[in-house]
Amino acid sequence: MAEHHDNDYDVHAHVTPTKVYVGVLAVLIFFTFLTVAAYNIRLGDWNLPVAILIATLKATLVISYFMHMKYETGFNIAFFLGTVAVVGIFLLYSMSDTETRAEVSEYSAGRYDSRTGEFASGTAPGIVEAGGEEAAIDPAVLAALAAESGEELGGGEAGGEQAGGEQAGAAGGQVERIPGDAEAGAAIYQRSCIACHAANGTGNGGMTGADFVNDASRLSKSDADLLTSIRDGIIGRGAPMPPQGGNLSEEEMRDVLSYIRREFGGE
Amino acid sequence: MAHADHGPKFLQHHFDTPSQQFTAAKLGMWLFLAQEILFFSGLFVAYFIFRSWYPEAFSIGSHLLDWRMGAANTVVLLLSSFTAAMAVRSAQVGDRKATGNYLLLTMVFAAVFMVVKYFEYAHKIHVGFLPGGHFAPTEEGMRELAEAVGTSFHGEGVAYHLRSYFGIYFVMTGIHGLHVLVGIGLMFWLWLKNRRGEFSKEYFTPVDCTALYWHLVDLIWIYLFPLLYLID
Amino acid sequence: MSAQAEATAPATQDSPEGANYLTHERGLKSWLTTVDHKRIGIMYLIAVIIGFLGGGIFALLVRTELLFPGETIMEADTYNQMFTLHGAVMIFLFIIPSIPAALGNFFLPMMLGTKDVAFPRLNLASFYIFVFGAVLALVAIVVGRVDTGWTFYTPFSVREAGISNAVLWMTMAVFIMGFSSILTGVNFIATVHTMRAPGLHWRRLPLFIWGVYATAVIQVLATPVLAITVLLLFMENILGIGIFNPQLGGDPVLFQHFFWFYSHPAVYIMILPGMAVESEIIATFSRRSIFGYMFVAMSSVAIALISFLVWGHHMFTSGMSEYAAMVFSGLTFLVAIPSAVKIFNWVATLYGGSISVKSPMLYGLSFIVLFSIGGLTGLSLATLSTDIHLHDTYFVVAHFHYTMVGGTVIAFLGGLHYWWPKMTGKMYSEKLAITAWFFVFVGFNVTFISQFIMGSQGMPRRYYDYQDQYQPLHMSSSGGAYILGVGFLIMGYMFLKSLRSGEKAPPNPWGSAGFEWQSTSPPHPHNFAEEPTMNRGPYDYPLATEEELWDGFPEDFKPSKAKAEA
Repeated sequence: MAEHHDNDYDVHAHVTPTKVYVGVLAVLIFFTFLTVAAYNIRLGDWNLPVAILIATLKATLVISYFMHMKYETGFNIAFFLGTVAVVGIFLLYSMSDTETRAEVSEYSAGRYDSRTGEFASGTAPGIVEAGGEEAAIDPAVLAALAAESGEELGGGEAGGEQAGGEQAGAAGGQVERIPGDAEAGAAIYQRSCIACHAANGTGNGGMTGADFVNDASRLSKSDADLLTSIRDGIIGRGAPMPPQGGNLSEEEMRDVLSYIRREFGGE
Repeated sequence: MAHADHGPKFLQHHFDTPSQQFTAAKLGMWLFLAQEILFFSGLFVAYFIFRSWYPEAFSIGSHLLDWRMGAANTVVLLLSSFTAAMAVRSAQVGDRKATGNYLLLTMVFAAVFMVVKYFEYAHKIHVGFLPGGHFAPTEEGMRELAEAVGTSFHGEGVAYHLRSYFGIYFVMTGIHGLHVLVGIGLMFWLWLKNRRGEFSKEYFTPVDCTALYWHLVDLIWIYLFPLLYLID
Repeated sequence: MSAQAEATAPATQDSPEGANYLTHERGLKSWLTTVDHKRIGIMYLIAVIIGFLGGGIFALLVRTELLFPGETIMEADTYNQMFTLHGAVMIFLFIIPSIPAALGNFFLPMMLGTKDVAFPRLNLASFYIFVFGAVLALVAIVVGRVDTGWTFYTPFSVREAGISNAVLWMTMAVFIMGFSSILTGVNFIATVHTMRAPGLHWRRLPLFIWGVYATAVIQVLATPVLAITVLLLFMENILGIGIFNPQLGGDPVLFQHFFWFYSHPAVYIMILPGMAVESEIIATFSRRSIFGYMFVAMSSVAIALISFLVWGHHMFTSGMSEYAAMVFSGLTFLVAIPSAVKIFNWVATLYGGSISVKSPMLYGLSFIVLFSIGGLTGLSLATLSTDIHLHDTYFVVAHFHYTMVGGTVIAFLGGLHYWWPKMTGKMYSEKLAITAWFFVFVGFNVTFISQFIMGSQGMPRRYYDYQDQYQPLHMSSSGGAYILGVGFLIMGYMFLKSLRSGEKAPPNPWGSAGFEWQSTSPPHPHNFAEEPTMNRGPYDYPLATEEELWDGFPEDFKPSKAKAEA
């Protein structure tokens, strides 16, 4: 067997003085107070990075001193940092998907609704649309909604047959337009509307929010009416829409409405 | 190869020297911690994605938590990390009594953390702030919600996505809490071993490795606190 | 090396003369409570072979059903379970543990010149965790329908609520087996870092070690993400937390991100050990050092690192954003580079080597051809525009079978043949080995080339029924599967016959310069009679002595030069 020396029982581990530990603890508690203080200062978008920065400073202290990383071998440090890098990759690349879902490249500007199996009319990229047969929204559902809200549905046909996929765009030429910047509206939609109305404007089949694509009654209203809806919210039709008046400025509301009309109204 | 001439009792057969054994044990522990970090990382990814999708709900949800309890718990865990580090140090210098006491203190602080957590959970459950499909605020809950949102509140609306917030909240703090409980168990096991005099200046590896685990549990909370409790 | 290779193990205080790791302690209890890495490796070997048999039976059932369109031997619901179980069993109960846990456990310490792994008790625990998980998987099969495909996508996998959902049992089994994988990885990394014999610095490590080491890194970093994915699936189902459910504000594509973040690195957990074995076989049967040793070693590390960047290529058609799809596609091309580096280096090793085509080398050469086909077809799938058409067709199925079977399984079989004499102390019939290889090689190619063609013609995967135009190709694919099965039957018979009545194996039947051969066959309980010092590398044939290469070698295998001198 390999020789071992009797005085080789020492494992060569660094013993940290107590006062260092106490000092680290004090700094950590101070940083905790700092975290709460920073929270109370309105920094807008910067609150999150500041919070993470302070947390990371605390973490570095815990790792370096309490966990002795400062005195560890190179490999252990490298592996730890590599681990953090892998977590970063996981986060970064997953979010590269989830954050860019709403963006549609010019190559696939067609909006495909898997519920109806159709492209929103006028948007299919060079593909010949299947002739004739269009999926219909269940008339009974339409009737029930109409009864509930007392509003008339698009085209004034309360319970009759309605060709699905009929777009507000068809009726669009008849309503008043208030101009807005659709490009700016895209970002606003991403921030404030996408949660309920979904990236493709269908509101998850109308479940979490109005379906702009398939429910013609929505975008067939005038811009003024729609701006009122955005500002004051809607109660009484499925999931209530919260008012955005406190959230968005008048200009932002006009911009996001332009975006919605452009993306989902087929203009 | 007889046992007698291999070395001290704590030196396992396949190692040549205590130094080799210690180095291997520490390396193995850091590798295990790496996998723990990757385990929690999935939850943090889910958190950031949902926070990005539902910023208002996350903000409101955060206001529905009591940041003072969260801050107290943060300090409690920091103290427990301190006592865990002191336990290792005491073992390193061969002070058996101090080691045992610091281990006990660590367990006490961990228990305090769990008690505070219990009160937080109990309240949430009481007012119906539950994850996912179970989110159903009671009247009291609605009043809290209204206070947090700042307007009079009588519908689902933006609070719809509070169910996502609370899904994330319960899963993250719940799994973290499980790890705290496991930590308490490990500390107790160490305390027993220490009482039997198994640790010394030459051999304190289990204390060192278990403390590393405990510090990781503290680290996770250091991030959880601002991310869950302090969203603007 | 300073250690002597002796025909029989010398006596020591622990074991009598001639005792090896198989004989020095007998009885079931000595096996079940062993901490000897060699015995643990053998137990894993038996377990994964049983897993392979199970997965193989499911495969034959699937292929038999697909002989004709419509119902052939089972209903559609049963068919869904058959292909799901084929995948889940093959992946989690066979291929992921196979080379690392069976061959790695046995040979890693030996190649390092040490007595055991860093944490032998943890090693045994890993084995029991694995067995426990495997039992749970069996429970799942019995409890109910595991029919979601091995990928367990939501919402289909959570459509049934509650504990009677067999998918929950299966994913619980996967969760547990994952920890076996993680702990093995921890053990191997710690061993390679802290227990190398004197003289064995990193640049002298056998390439098998580099490969298994890189695999261990992936195991430690990727498998926990599978664990959290499964846990979240569990909570989705039992607690209804809604993280993957769009009606509750969640996202099913998020499940896919989580799942593939592990499962893509997992396929490198599968192939890297295969490549590790390949290096050993090519070196020994070319009697020279691997060309570009450092490149091959570093390419293992590079594959491990890049493997974490490309998981989105499984999700191109899932509804993921286009921008992310482009990023993942580009990165996927990157990962082909280190794999290609290895192929080029192995081929360069052959050129200028003194090649002997024994049965292990048949597998070694097959690997180069078959893995290249698998890898190159992966490029068609990495390309966004073609993947749109090929995704979820048989083209994908053929691609991953060429890499996993044509790659890993072929390498595993090659390693099994190569190291069989060392592990068991017996030789096997070379004639039977060549026959079995022939059936395996032909059967495999017939099965999966048919699938490449079918897939590119549009035949979707996991389909129970299909249009008549695909029937001839399905039939030929199934025929190939039967031929493959015959190959395995012959192989099984050959190995069993070897155990019963095989010729006694010398310490170094293949004349390899590798360190693991500097021991008896089977090895001494502590691997070497005395701790070796490594004065040369494992492929330094010019520096190896006659004794190290040929000692105790049967007469008819000795080179004529040595014979003349004898």
